[in-house]
Amino acid sequence: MKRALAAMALSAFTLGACTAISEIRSGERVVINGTLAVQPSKSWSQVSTFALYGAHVVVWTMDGPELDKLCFVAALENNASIHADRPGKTPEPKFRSNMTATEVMELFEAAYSRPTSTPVIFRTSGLRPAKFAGVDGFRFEFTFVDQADEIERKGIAVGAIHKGKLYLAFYHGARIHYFGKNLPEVEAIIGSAKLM
Amino acid sequence: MNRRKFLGAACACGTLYSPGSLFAGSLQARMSPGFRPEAASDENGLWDQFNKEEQQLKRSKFLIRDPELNAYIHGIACKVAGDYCRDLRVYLVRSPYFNATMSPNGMMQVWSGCLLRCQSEAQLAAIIGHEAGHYLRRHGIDRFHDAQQKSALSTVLGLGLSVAGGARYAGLTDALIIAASFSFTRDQEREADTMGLDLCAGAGYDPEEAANIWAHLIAERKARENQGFRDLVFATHPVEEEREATLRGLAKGMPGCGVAERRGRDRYLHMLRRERASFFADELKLRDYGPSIALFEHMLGNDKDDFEVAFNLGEVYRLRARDGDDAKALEQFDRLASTPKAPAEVWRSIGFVRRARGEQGEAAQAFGRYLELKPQADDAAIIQSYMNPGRST
Repeated sequence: MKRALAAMALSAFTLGACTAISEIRSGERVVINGTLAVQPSKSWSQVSTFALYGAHVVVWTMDGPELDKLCFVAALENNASIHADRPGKTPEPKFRSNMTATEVMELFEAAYSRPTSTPVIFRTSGLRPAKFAGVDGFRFEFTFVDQADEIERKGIAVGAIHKGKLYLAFYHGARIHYFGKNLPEVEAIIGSAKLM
Repeated sequence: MNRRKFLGAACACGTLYSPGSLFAGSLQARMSPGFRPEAASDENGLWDQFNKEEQQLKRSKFLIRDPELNAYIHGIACKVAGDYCRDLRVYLVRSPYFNATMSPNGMMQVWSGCLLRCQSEAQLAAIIGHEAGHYLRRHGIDRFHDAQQKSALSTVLGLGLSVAGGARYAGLTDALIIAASFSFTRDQEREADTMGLDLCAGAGYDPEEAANIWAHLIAERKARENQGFRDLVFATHPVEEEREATLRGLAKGMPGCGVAERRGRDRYLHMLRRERASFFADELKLRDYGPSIALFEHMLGNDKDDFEVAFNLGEVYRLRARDGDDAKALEQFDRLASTPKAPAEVWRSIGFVRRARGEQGEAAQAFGRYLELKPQADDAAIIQSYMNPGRST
């Protein structure tokens, strides 16, 4: 896997040095955006892209971002968007503090199904109440296919609005093999989440 | 972007959307029905590339496979293309933008955003006729030959592509890459417009519907909140008004112009009925509120009792949630709720709007009605939680 990541890093370098990868060590307590603490029991790679588009999303991966991603949005404020606006493009949908879980799910779905270059078929399901980081929140499942590679991906999202700010952890992976492979570790990380 | 996407983009480059005045008089097809390129020709090589592309498209998860709808649209293509019917294959592709593409080998793609925006069979026929025009005039091979002559540009473009991941296109010749990267020329668009109008009028459709599509696209563009945004439709072709006027002027001299009976509106909407909900959902996810409002109001202008449109217009306002949008959303939802055919989701949406207004009692009532109508709803537990004031989500 390290070789794959090294290749990926090299590839990223040749494409304009726009991506950096750092290690998240197993057992390390990680604080996202100063507000959301999680503790992985395995080692992950954090993928930092120097692009505004994903500005509010922290991305980890186990087997490479094409295969799986564990993402965190921590303390997103009222009227902020999950993805930053892109010049010349339609403005990103905004989070509002008074949103219901349904509306947050709709926001998430819009944020991830708006085509950046190719269309995406995105479906959400199973929205239900759930605890997240010790507070009342919600959970749902999703699937999506991007026309760029047509790989079927599955995902889960868990989140809550606390003191007017949005906290969200979501994970997705290739439906074949990768989603299920890392899911127990992901559930454990989500279970470890604490608000700071 | 993989090779298939790249070629897809190639076809999509403005096949339908360049401006210009139309040629006067009819044009002839530059091929006979059943045409195939000579085995050793470069045109045959080009066809091979697109044949491979077509095989992949047939397996795509983005293909709309509704057999009745596909048969219906194949029938429109046959009406329009006549003896060339068997040379054209129309694929319906789920993508929320307004576009259609024509490949040199006869593979035509019509995107779902186009199907949603067409308001009649004659409008879709105008698009198919235009694309058929590109095929019959062999614009694909012309573009390919033109690209072969641009070797200097090939070097520049090749450099650009390598930065953007061009190694993936190693199987393509430079010329094909260039050909794929450029839209049809304005003259080619004029030819396709001319042939498209002729074909549609000859097939018994109201030819003015081509101009009517443009009129609506212009309205959508004007409704766009970010005027700096230029999508596929308008990126390289800035004078849509000119094109609309030209198409309308030409249609005026053709048989069937402006004749409502030659539009086939009811038949078209009937055939679209099973797929339209997903098209609306895709449109809403774009969160491009201004054009969506313009589209839905345009559709309601054609039929104020189209409840599916009214619901989605309310949804755009609910999702945008700016000052005054709550009232506009409720105007649509309340109108629907007063009818016996209102779907349960109308009540759920009323609940969201009322809740955002701080009207907890009315919200709980609306959510309750939703659960009453749909007790086994996938989201029943979370909706139940909204009826309990004090929760944060």
